[in-house]
Amino acid sequence: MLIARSKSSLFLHLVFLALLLANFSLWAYSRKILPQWDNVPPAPKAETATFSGLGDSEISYRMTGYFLQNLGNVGGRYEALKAYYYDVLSKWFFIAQGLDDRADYIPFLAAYYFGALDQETEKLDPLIDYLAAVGQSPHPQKWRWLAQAVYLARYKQNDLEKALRLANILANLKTDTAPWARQMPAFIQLKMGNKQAAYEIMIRMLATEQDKINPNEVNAMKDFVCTRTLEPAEAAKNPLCQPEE
Amino acid sequence: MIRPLYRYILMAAMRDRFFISIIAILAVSVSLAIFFGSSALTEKDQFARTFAAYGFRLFGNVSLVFFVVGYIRRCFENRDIEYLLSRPMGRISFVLTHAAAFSSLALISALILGAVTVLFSQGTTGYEGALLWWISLAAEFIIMANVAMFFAFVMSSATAAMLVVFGFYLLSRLIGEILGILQKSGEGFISVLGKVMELISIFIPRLDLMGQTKWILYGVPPDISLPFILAQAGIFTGLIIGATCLDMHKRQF
Repeated sequence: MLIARSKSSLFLHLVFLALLLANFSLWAYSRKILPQWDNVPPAPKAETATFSGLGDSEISYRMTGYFLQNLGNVGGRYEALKAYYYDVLSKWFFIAQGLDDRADYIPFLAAYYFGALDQETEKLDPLIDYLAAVGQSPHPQKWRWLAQAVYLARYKQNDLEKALRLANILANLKTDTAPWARQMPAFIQLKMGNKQAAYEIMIRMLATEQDKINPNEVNAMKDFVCTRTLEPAEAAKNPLCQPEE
Repeated sequence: MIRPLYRYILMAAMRDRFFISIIAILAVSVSLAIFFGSSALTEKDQFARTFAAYGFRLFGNVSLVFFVVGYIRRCFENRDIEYLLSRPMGRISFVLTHAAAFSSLALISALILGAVTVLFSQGTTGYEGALLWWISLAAEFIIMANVAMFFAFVMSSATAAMLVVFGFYLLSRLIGEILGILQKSGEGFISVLGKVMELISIFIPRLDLMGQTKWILYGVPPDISLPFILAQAGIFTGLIIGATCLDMHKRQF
Protein backbone atom coordinates (compact mmCIF):
# COMPACT_ATOMS: atom_id res chain seq x y z
CA MET A 1 0.00 0.00 0.00
CA LEU A 2 2.80 2.35 1.03
CA ILE A 3 4.88 1.45 -2.02
CA ALA A 4 1.93 2.05 -4.34
CA ARG A 5 1.31 5.41 -2.71
CA SER A 6 4.94 6.50 -2.96
CA LYS A 7 4.95 5.40 -6.64
CA SER A 8 1.89 7.51 -7.44
CA SER A 9 3.40 10.40 -5.47
CA LEU A 10 6.62 10.12 -7.48
CA PHE A 11 4.60 10.01 -10.70
CA LEU A 12 2.63 13.13 -9.69
CA HIS A 13 5.82 14.99 -8.84
CA LEU A 14 7.37 14.01 -12.18
CA VAL A 15 4.29 15.18 -14.08
CA PHE A 16 4.34 18.43 -12.14
CA LEU A 17 8.06 18.89 -12.89
CA ALA A 18 7.47 18.18 -16.59
CA LEU A 19 4.65 20.76 -16.70
CA LEU A 20 6.89 23.26 -14.87
CA LEU A 21 9.60 22.72 -17.50
CA ALA A 22 7.07 23.08 -20.31
CA ASN A 23 5.85 26.32 -18.75
CA PHE A 24 9.44 27.58 -18.48
CA SER A 25 10.07 26.76 -22.17
CA LEU A 26 6.91 28.61 -23.17
CA TRP A 27 7.99 31.62 -21.09
CA ALA A 28 11.49 31.55 -22.67
CA TYR A 29 9.85 31.59 -26.10
CA SER A 30 7.19 34.23 -25.39
CA ARG A 31 9.18 36.69 -23.27
CA LYS A 32 10.74 38.22 -26.38
CA ILE A 33 7.40 38.70 -28.10
CA LEU A 34 6.36 42.25 -27.24
CA PRO A 35 3.14 44.04 -28.10
CA GLN A 36 3.34 45.40 -31.64
CA TRP A 37 1.96 48.75 -32.71
CA ASP A 38 -0.46 48.16 -35.56
CA ASN A 39 -0.66 51.84 -36.41
CA VAL A 40 -4.04 53.56 -36.62
CA PRO A 41 -6.78 50.92 -36.95
CA PRO A 42 -9.56 51.44 -39.51
CA ALA A 43 -12.23 53.84 -38.32
CA PRO A 44 -15.74 52.48 -37.77
CA LYS A 45 -18.63 53.49 -39.97
CA ALA A 46 -20.83 56.35 -38.81
CA GLU A 47 -23.74 53.92 -38.24
CA THR A 48 -21.74 51.76 -35.83
CA ALA A 49 -19.69 54.47 -34.14
CA THR A 50 -21.85 54.50 -31.01
CA PHE A 51 -21.54 50.74 -30.45
CA SER A 52 -18.46 51.30 -28.26
CA GLY A 53 -20.59 53.35 -25.84
CA LEU A 54 -23.63 51.06 -26.01
CA GLY A 55 -25.62 53.55 -28.05
CA ASP A 56 -24.51 56.60 -26.03
CA SER A 57 -22.91 59.02 -28.48
CA GLU A 58 -21.20 61.23 -25.87
CA ILE A 59 -19.39 58.39 -24.09
CA SER A 60 -18.41 57.00 -27.53
CA TYR A 61 -16.95 60.42 -28.35
CA ARG A 62 -14.99 60.54 -25.08
CA MET A 63 -13.76 56.95 -25.49
CA THR A 64 -12.68 57.68 -29.06
CA GLY A 65 -10.83 60.75 -27.81
CA TYR A 66 -9.13 58.79 -25.09
CA PHE A 67 -8.20 56.06 -27.55
CA LEU A 68 -6.72 58.57 -30.01
CA GLN A 69 -4.79 60.34 -27.26
CA ASN A 70 -3.10 57.10 -26.18
CA LEU A 71 -2.89 55.47 -29.59
CA GLY A 72 0.87 55.55 -29.99
CA ASN A 73 1.65 54.32 -26.49
CA VAL A 74 2.16 50.58 -26.77
CA GLY A 75 3.95 48.51 -24.15
CA GLY A 76 5.73 51.53 -22.70
CA ARG A 77 7.00 52.72 -26.09
CA TYR A 78 5.87 55.87 -27.89
CA GLU A 79 5.54 56.00 -31.64
CA ALA A 80 6.76 59.01 -33.59
CA LEU A 81 4.01 61.10 -35.19
CA LYS A 82 5.50 60.57 -38.65
CA ALA A 83 4.71 56.84 -38.34
CA TYR A 84 0.95 57.41 -38.03
CA TYR A 85 -1.42 56.89 -40.94
CA TYR A 86 -2.80 60.41 -41.02
CA ASP A 87 -5.45 59.61 -43.63
CA VAL A 88 -6.96 56.93 -41.34
CA LEU A 89 -6.55 59.20 -38.33
CA SER A 90 -8.54 61.86 -40.11
CA LYS A 91 -11.39 59.37 -40.66
CA TRP A 92 -11.49 58.85 -36.89
CA PHE A 93 -11.66 62.62 -36.42
CA PHE A 94 -14.65 62.91 -38.73
CA ILE A 95 -16.40 59.96 -37.05
CA ALA A 96 -15.91 61.65 -33.67
CA GLN A 97 -17.22 64.90 -35.11
CA GLY A 98 -20.43 63.04 -35.98
CA LEU A 99 -20.73 61.86 -32.38
CA ASP A 100 -20.36 65.30 -30.82
CA ASP A 101 -19.95 68.40 -32.95
CA ARG A 102 -19.87 70.78 -29.97
CA ALA A 103 -16.92 69.39 -28.01
CA ASP A 104 -13.40 70.67 -28.67
CA TYR A 105 -11.46 67.64 -27.49
CA ILE A 106 -10.79 65.96 -30.86
CA PRO A 107 -10.09 69.26 -32.70
CA PHE A 108 -7.66 70.06 -29.87
CA LEU A 109 -5.89 66.71 -30.33
CA ALA A 110 -5.80 67.20 -34.11
CA ALA A 111 -4.43 70.76 -33.95
CA TYR A 112 -2.02 70.66 -31.05
CA TYR A 113 -1.01 67.01 -30.74
CA PHE A 114 -1.16 65.41 -34.18
CA GLY A 115 -0.54 68.79 -35.83
CA ALA A 116 2.90 68.90 -34.20
CA LEU A 117 4.31 66.78 -37.05
CA ASP A 118 7.53 68.37 -38.37
CA GLN A 119 8.62 65.89 -41.01
CA GLU A 120 6.69 64.65 -44.05
CA THR A 121 4.27 67.52 -43.51
CA GLU A 122 2.29 66.59 -46.63
CA LYS A 123 0.71 63.97 -44.35
CA LEU A 124 -1.08 66.83 -42.61
CA ASP A 125 -3.42 67.36 -45.61
CA PRO A 126 -6.35 65.28 -44.26
CA LEU A 127 -5.88 66.76 -40.78
CA ILE A 128 -6.02 70.29 -42.23
CA ASP A 129 -9.18 69.34 -44.17
CA TYR A 130 -10.72 68.15 -40.89
CA LEU A 131 -9.81 71.30 -38.98
CA ALA A 132 -11.16 73.41 -41.85
CA ALA A 133 -14.45 71.49 -41.73
CA VAL A 134 -14.76 71.80 -37.93
CA GLY A 135 -13.86 75.47 -38.15
CA GLN A 136 -16.90 76.15 -40.31
CA SER A 137 -19.30 74.56 -37.83
CA PRO A 138 -21.94 77.04 -36.59
CA HIS A 139 -21.21 76.44 -32.89
CA PRO A 140 -19.50 79.23 -30.92
CA GLN A 141 -15.71 79.65 -31.12
CA LYS A 142 -15.25 76.92 -33.72
CA TRP A 143 -13.54 79.36 -36.12
CA ARG A 144 -10.38 78.91 -34.02
CA TRP A 145 -9.91 75.48 -35.58
CA LEU A 146 -10.06 76.97 -39.06
CA ALA A 147 -7.38 79.45 -37.93
CA GLN A 148 -5.33 76.42 -36.82
CA ALA A 149 -5.79 74.92 -40.29
CA VAL A 150 -4.48 78.16 -41.82
CA TYR A 151 -1.51 78.09 -39.44
CA LEU A 152 -0.63 74.47 -40.31
CA ALA A 153 -0.89 75.14 -44.06
CA ARG A 154 1.13 78.36 -43.77
CA TYR A 155 3.88 77.43 -41.33
CA LYS A 156 4.09 73.63 -41.30
CA GLN A 157 3.45 72.93 -44.97
CA ASN A 158 4.52 76.34 -46.32
CA ASP A 159 1.65 75.99 -48.81
CA LEU A 160 0.68 79.62 -49.26
CA GLU A 161 -2.04 78.94 -51.85
CA LYS A 162 -3.86 76.58 -49.50
CA ALA A 163 -3.31 78.88 -46.53
CA LEU A 164 -4.77 81.81 -48.47
CA ARG A 165 -7.79 79.77 -49.58
CA LEU A 166 -8.51 78.75 -45.96
CA ALA A 167 -7.79 82.24 -44.64
CA ASN A 168 -10.34 83.68 -47.08
CA ILE A 169 -12.94 81.20 -45.81
CA LEU A 170 -12.07 82.21 -42.24
CA ALA A 171 -12.26 85.94 -43.00
CA ASN A 172 -15.69 85.53 -44.60
CA LEU A 173 -17.26 83.42 -41.83
CA LYS A 174 -20.54 84.79 -40.53
CA THR A 175 -19.65 83.92 -36.93
CA ASP A 176 -18.07 86.37 -34.50
CA THR A 177 -14.40 85.83 -35.38
CA ALA A 178 -11.56 87.84 -33.87
CA PRO A 179 -10.12 90.73 -35.91
CA TRP A 180 -6.74 89.00 -36.22
CA ALA A 181 -8.46 86.04 -37.86
CA ARG A 182 -10.04 88.32 -40.45
CA GLN A 183 -6.62 89.85 -41.09
CA MET A 184 -5.05 86.51 -41.95
CA PRO A 185 -5.54 86.81 -45.73
CA ALA A 186 -3.60 90.08 -45.63
CA PHE A 187 -0.61 88.49 -43.91
CA ILE A 188 -0.56 85.62 -46.37
CA GLN A 189 -0.96 87.90 -49.38
CA LEU A 190 2.01 89.87 -48.09
CA LYS A 191 4.08 86.72 -47.77
CA MET A 192 3.13 85.83 -51.33
CA GLY A 193 4.41 89.21 -52.43
CA ASN A 194 0.93 90.65 -53.12
CA LYS A 195 1.41 93.89 -51.22
CA GLN A 196 -1.50 95.57 -52.97
CA ALA A 197 -3.94 92.80 -51.97
CA ALA A 198 -2.69 92.87 -48.37
CA TYR A 199 -3.08 96.67 -48.33
CA GLU A 200 -6.67 96.49 -49.60
CA ILE A 201 -7.74 93.87 -47.06
CA MET A 202 -6.43 95.97 -44.18
CA ILE A 203 -7.87 99.22 -45.50
CA ARG A 204 -11.29 97.57 -45.94
CA MET A 205 -11.17 96.25 -42.39
CA LEU A 206 -10.16 99.62 -40.99
CA ALA A 207 -12.97 101.29 -42.90
CA THR A 208 -15.69 98.93 -41.69
CA GLU A 209 -14.55 97.74 -38.27
CA GLN A 210 -12.37 100.46 -36.76
CA ASP A 211 -15.02 101.27 -34.15
CA LYS A 212 -15.35 97.67 -32.99
CA ILE A 213 -11.61 96.96 -32.60
CA ASN A 214 -9.37 97.80 -29.66
CA PRO A 215 -7.37 101.04 -30.36
CA ASN A 216 -4.08 99.16 -29.86
CA GLU A 217 -5.10 96.74 -32.56
CA VAL A 218 -6.08 99.60 -34.87
CA ASN A 219 -2.62 101.09 -34.38
CA ALA A 220 -1.01 97.73 -35.13
CA MET A 221 -3.08 97.45 -38.34
CA LYS A 222 -2.07 100.96 -39.39
CA ASP A 223 1.56 100.09 -38.72
CA PHE A 224 1.21 96.94 -40.82
CA VAL A 225 -0.25 98.99 -43.70
CA CYS A 226 2.30 101.76 -43.50
CA THR A 227 5.49 99.81 -42.89
CA ARG A 228 4.90 96.47 -44.59
CA THR A 229 2.47 96.92 -47.48
CA LEU A 230 3.66 100.38 -48.59
CA GLU A 231 7.08 101.60 -49.67
CA PRO A 232 8.38 104.54 -47.57
CA ALA A 233 7.62 107.01 -50.38
CA GLU A 234 4.04 105.69 -50.71
CA ALA A 235 3.58 105.78 -46.94
CA ALA A 236 4.71 109.39 -46.80
CA LYS A 237 1.87 110.33 -49.15
CA ASN A 238 -0.83 108.11 -47.59
CA PRO A 239 -3.07 110.05 -45.16
CA LEU A 240 -3.42 106.95 -42.96
CA CYS A 241 0.30 106.96 -42.29
CA GLN A 242 0.57 110.59 -41.25
CA PRO A 243 1.22 111.21 -37.53
CA GLU A 244 -1.95 112.22 -35.68
CA GLU A 245 -2.13 115.85 -34.56
CA MET B 1 -50.08 40.11 3.13
CA ILE B 2 -49.04 42.53 0.41
CA ARG B 3 -47.31 44.99 2.76
CA PRO B 4 -45.29 42.32 4.68
CA LEU B 5 -44.15 40.80 1.38
CA TYR B 6 -43.12 44.23 0.09
CA ARG B 7 -41.15 44.83 3.30
CA TYR B 8 -39.70 41.33 3.12
CA ILE B 9 -38.24 42.03 -0.36
CA LEU B 10 -36.74 45.33 0.78
CA MET B 11 -35.30 43.56 3.83
CA ALA B 12 -33.82 40.93 1.52
CA ALA B 13 -32.13 43.75 -0.42
CA MET B 14 -30.70 45.09 2.84
CA ARG B 15 -29.57 41.60 3.84
CA ASP B 16 -27.90 41.11 0.45
CA ARG B 17 -26.05 44.41 1.00
CA PHE B 18 -27.69 45.85 -2.12
CA PHE B 19 -27.59 49.43 -0.85
CA ILE B 20 -23.94 49.11 0.21
CA SER B 21 -23.20 47.87 -3.33
CA ILE B 22 -24.84 50.98 -4.75
CA ILE B 23 -22.71 53.19 -2.49
CA ALA B 24 -19.62 51.20 -3.56
CA ILE B 25 -20.55 51.68 -7.23
CA LEU B 26 -20.89 55.37 -6.56
CA ALA B 27 -17.45 55.61 -4.93
CA VAL B 28 -15.68 53.46 -7.55
CA SER B 29 -17.35 55.19 -10.53
CA VAL B 30 -16.57 58.68 -9.23
CA SER B 31 -12.95 57.74 -8.45
CA LEU B 32 -12.38 56.13 -11.84
CA ALA B 33 -14.11 58.99 -13.63
CA ILE B 34 -11.88 61.55 -11.89
CA PHE B 35 -8.82 59.43 -12.70
CA PHE B 36 -9.72 59.07 -16.40
CA GLY B 37 -10.82 62.69 -16.61
CA SER B 38 -7.55 63.98 -15.18
CA SER B 39 -5.53 62.02 -17.72
CA ALA B 40 -7.34 63.66 -20.67
CA LEU B 41 -5.40 66.48 -22.34
CA THR B 42 -8.26 68.98 -22.13
CA GLU B 43 -11.98 69.11 -21.19
CA LYS B 44 -11.13 67.14 -18.04
CA ASP B 45 -14.36 68.11 -16.32
CA GLN B 46 -16.51 66.98 -19.24
CA PHE B 47 -14.62 63.69 -19.36
CA ALA B 48 -15.08 63.04 -15.64
CA ARG B 49 -18.80 63.86 -15.66
CA THR B 50 -19.45 61.73 -18.76
CA PHE B 51 -17.53 58.72 -17.45
CA ALA B 52 -19.19 58.95 -14.01
CA ALA B 53 -22.70 59.15 -15.48
CA TYR B 54 -21.98 56.24 -17.83
CA GLY B 55 -20.61 54.17 -14.92
CA PHE B 56 -23.66 54.89 -12.75
CA ARG B 57 -26.01 53.88 -15.53
CA LEU B 58 -24.20 50.68 -16.46
CA PHE B 59 -23.30 49.38 -13.01
CA GLY B 60 -26.61 50.48 -11.51
CA ASN B 61 -28.38 48.25 -14.02
CA VAL B 62 -25.96 45.39 -13.43
CA SER B 63 -26.43 45.43 -9.64
CA LEU B 64 -30.22 45.62 -9.95
CA VAL B 65 -30.32 42.68 -12.36
CA PHE B 66 -28.00 40.61 -10.17
CA PHE B 67 -30.14 41.22 -7.11
CA VAL B 68 -33.56 40.68 -8.76
CA VAL B 69 -32.57 37.50 -10.60
CA GLY B 70 -30.63 36.13 -7.63
CA TYR B 71 -33.46 36.85 -5.20
CA ILE B 72 -36.22 35.27 -7.31
CA ARG B 73 -34.24 32.18 -8.25
CA ARG B 74 -33.29 31.71 -4.59
CA CYS B 75 -36.99 31.97 -3.65
CA PHE B 76 -37.85 29.25 -6.16
CA GLU B 77 -35.01 26.98 -5.06
CA ASN B 78 -35.82 27.36 -1.34
CA ARG B 79 -39.52 26.84 -2.09
CA ASP B 80 -40.27 30.27 -0.59
CA ILE B 81 -42.52 31.01 -3.56
CA GLU B 82 -44.72 28.00 -2.84
CA TYR B 83 -44.88 28.94 0.83
CA LEU B 84 -45.80 32.56 0.06
CA LEU B 85 -48.44 31.51 -2.46
CA SER B 86 -50.03 29.25 0.14
CA ARG B 87 -50.77 32.41 2.16
CA PRO B 88 -53.98 34.37 1.56
CA MET B 89 -52.68 36.13 -1.52
CA GLY B 90 -53.49 35.87 -5.23
CA ARG B 91 -50.83 35.20 -7.84
CA ILE B 92 -51.42 38.56 -9.52
CA SER B 93 -51.02 40.42 -6.21
CA PHE B 94 -47.88 38.39 -5.60
CA VAL B 95 -46.33 39.53 -8.91
CA LEU B 96 -47.51 43.12 -8.48
CA THR B 97 -46.00 43.31 -4.98
CA HIS B 98 -42.70 42.03 -6.34
CA ALA B 99 -42.86 44.55 -9.20
CA ALA B 100 -43.58 47.37 -6.74
CA ALA B 101 -40.71 46.34 -4.47
CA PHE B 102 -38.19 45.99 -7.32
CA SER B 103 -39.35 49.29 -8.82
CA SER B 104 -38.84 50.94 -5.42
CA LEU B 105 -35.31 49.55 -5.29
CA ALA B 106 -34.70 50.86 -8.83
CA LEU B 107 -36.00 54.26 -7.78
CA ILE B 108 -33.79 54.39 -4.67
CA SER B 109 -30.72 53.38 -6.73
CA ALA B 110 -31.48 56.06 -9.31
CA LEU B 111 -32.05 58.58 -6.55
CA ILE B 112 -28.63 57.93 -5.01
CA LEU B 113 -26.62 57.63 -8.24
CA GLY B 114 -28.43 60.38 -10.14
CA ALA B 115 -28.22 62.88 -7.30
CA VAL B 116 -24.42 62.87 -7.51
CA THR B 117 -24.53 63.61 -11.25
CA VAL B 118 -27.00 66.45 -10.73
CA LEU B 119 -24.81 67.80 -7.92
CA PHE B 120 -21.76 67.79 -10.22
CA SER B 121 -23.77 69.57 -12.92
CA GLN B 122 -24.91 72.43 -10.73
CA GLY B 123 -24.05 75.78 -12.23
CA THR B 124 -23.23 74.35 -15.65
CA THR B 125 -25.12 74.69 -18.93
CA GLY B 126 -26.15 71.05 -18.64
CA TYR B 127 -28.01 71.35 -15.32
CA GLU B 128 -31.52 70.96 -16.77
CA GLY B 129 -30.26 68.15 -18.99
CA ALA B 130 -28.84 66.44 -15.89
CA LEU B 131 -32.27 66.62 -14.22
CA LEU B 132 -33.84 64.98 -17.28
CA TRP B 133 -31.05 62.39 -17.28
CA TRP B 134 -31.84 61.65 -13.61
CA ILE B 135 -35.52 60.98 -14.36
CA SER B 136 -34.52 58.95 -17.40
CA LEU B 137 -32.11 56.89 -15.27
CA ALA B 138 -34.91 56.09 -12.81
CA ALA B 139 -37.20 55.10 -15.71
CA GLU B 140 -34.52 52.83 -17.19
CA PHE B 141 -33.77 51.18 -13.83
CA ILE B 142 -37.49 50.49 -13.31
CA ILE B 143 -37.79 48.96 -16.79
CA MET B 144 -34.71 46.78 -16.31
CA ALA B 145 -35.66 45.66 -12.77
CA ASN B 146 -39.03 44.44 -14.12
CA VAL B 147 -37.42 42.83 -17.17
CA ALA B 148 -35.07 40.97 -14.79
CA MET B 149 -38.09 39.91 -12.70
CA PHE B 150 -39.85 38.56 -15.80
CA PHE B 151 -36.92 36.47 -16.99
CA ALA B 152 -36.17 35.24 -13.46
CA PHE B 153 -39.77 33.99 -13.16
CA VAL B 154 -39.81 32.45 -16.64
CA MET B 155 -36.37 30.82 -16.77
CA SER B 156 -35.25 28.12 -14.38
CA SER B 157 -31.52 28.92 -14.39
CA ALA B 158 -30.17 32.06 -12.71
CA THR B 159 -27.13 32.20 -15.02
CA ALA B 160 -29.25 31.86 -18.16
CA ALA B 161 -31.71 34.48 -16.88
CA MET B 162 -28.90 36.97 -16.20
CA LEU B 163 -27.38 36.37 -19.63
CA VAL B 164 -30.74 36.87 -21.32
CA VAL B 165 -31.40 40.08 -19.35
CA PHE B 166 -27.99 41.48 -20.29
CA GLY B 167 -28.56 40.46 -23.92
CA PHE B 168 -31.90 42.24 -23.80
CA TYR B 169 -30.25 45.32 -22.29
CA LEU B 170 -27.56 45.35 -24.98
CA LEU B 171 -30.22 45.08 -27.68
CA SER B 172 -32.26 47.87 -26.09
CA ARG B 173 -29.24 50.15 -25.99
CA LEU B 174 -28.26 49.44 -29.60
CA ILE B 175 -31.67 49.00 -31.22
CA GLY B 176 -31.62 52.47 -32.78
CA GLU B 177 -28.32 51.80 -34.57
CA ILE B 178 -29.42 48.30 -35.59
CA LEU B 179 -32.66 49.61 -37.10
CA GLY B 180 -30.74 52.39 -38.85
CA ILE B 181 -28.35 49.88 -40.45
CA LEU B 182 -31.16 47.52 -41.45
CA GLN B 183 -33.25 50.28 -42.99
CA LYS B 184 -30.26 51.31 -45.11
CA SER B 185 -29.19 47.80 -46.13
CA GLY B 186 -29.99 46.25 -49.48
CA GLU B 187 -32.31 43.59 -50.81
CA GLY B 188 -32.87 39.84 -50.62
CA PHE B 189 -32.12 37.87 -47.52
CA ILE B 190 -30.75 40.88 -45.60
CA SER B 191 -33.96 42.81 -46.18
CA VAL B 192 -35.99 39.81 -44.88
CA LEU B 193 -33.76 39.75 -41.78
CA GLY B 194 -34.37 43.47 -41.47
CA LYS B 195 -38.12 42.92 -41.41
CA VAL B 196 -37.73 40.20 -38.76
CA MET B 197 -35.57 42.52 -36.67
CA GLU B 198 -38.10 45.29 -37.08
CA LEU B 199 -40.76 42.92 -35.77
CA ILE B 200 -38.57 42.02 -32.78
CA SER B 201 -37.94 45.71 -32.11
CA ILE B 202 -41.64 46.16 -31.24
CA PHE B 203 -40.86 44.38 -27.97
CA ILE B 204 -37.59 46.19 -27.29
CA PRO B 205 -37.67 49.51 -25.41
CA ARG B 206 -35.64 52.32 -26.98
CA LEU B 207 -33.12 52.70 -24.16
CA ASP B 208 -30.75 54.31 -26.67
CA LEU B 209 -33.01 57.36 -26.54
CA MET B 210 -32.83 57.52 -22.75
CA GLY B 211 -30.13 58.61 -20.29
CA GLN B 212 -27.75 60.09 -22.87
CA THR B 213 -24.64 61.53 -21.19
CA LYS B 214 -24.72 64.30 -23.82
CA TRP B 215 -27.63 65.87 -21.90
CA ILE B 216 -25.40 66.37 -18.87
CA LEU B 217 -23.00 68.50 -20.90
CA TYR B 218 -25.25 70.35 -23.31
CA GLY B 219 -28.67 70.47 -21.68
CA VAL B 220 -32.09 69.14 -22.64
CA PRO B 221 -32.10 67.57 -26.13
CA PRO B 222 -34.50 68.94 -28.74
CA ASP B 223 -35.74 65.52 -29.86
CA ILE B 224 -36.35 63.67 -26.55
CA SER B 225 -38.92 64.94 -24.09
CA LEU B 226 -39.96 64.05 -20.56
CA PRO B 227 -43.40 62.72 -21.69
CA PHE B 228 -41.64 60.32 -24.09
CA ILE B 229 -39.41 58.98 -21.29
CA LEU B 230 -42.32 58.59 -18.87
CA ALA B 231 -44.56 57.03 -21.53
CA GLN B 232 -41.89 54.50 -22.49
CA ALA B 233 -41.26 53.60 -18.84
CA GLY B 234 -44.98 53.32 -18.07
CA ILE B 235 -46.01 51.36 -21.15
CA PHE B 236 -43.07 48.96 -21.24
CA THR B 237 -43.07 48.31 -17.49
CA GLY B 238 -46.82 47.62 -17.69
CA LEU B 239 -46.25 45.26 -20.61
CA ILE B 240 -43.51 43.27 -18.89
CA ILE B 241 -45.43 43.07 -15.58
CA GLY B 242 -48.45 41.88 -17.58
CA ALA B 243 -46.34 39.16 -19.19
CA THR B 244 -45.05 38.06 -15.76
CA CYS B 245 -48.63 37.93 -14.43
CA LEU B 246 -49.66 35.76 -17.38
CA ASP B 247 -46.74 33.40 -16.78
CA MET B 248 -47.57 33.09 -13.07
CA HIS B 249 -51.24 32.60 -13.85
CA LYS B 250 -50.54 29.62 -16.10
CA ARG B 251 -47.75 28.11 -14.01
CA GLN B 252 -48.30 24.72 -12.32
CA PHE B 253 -46.78 24.36 -8.84
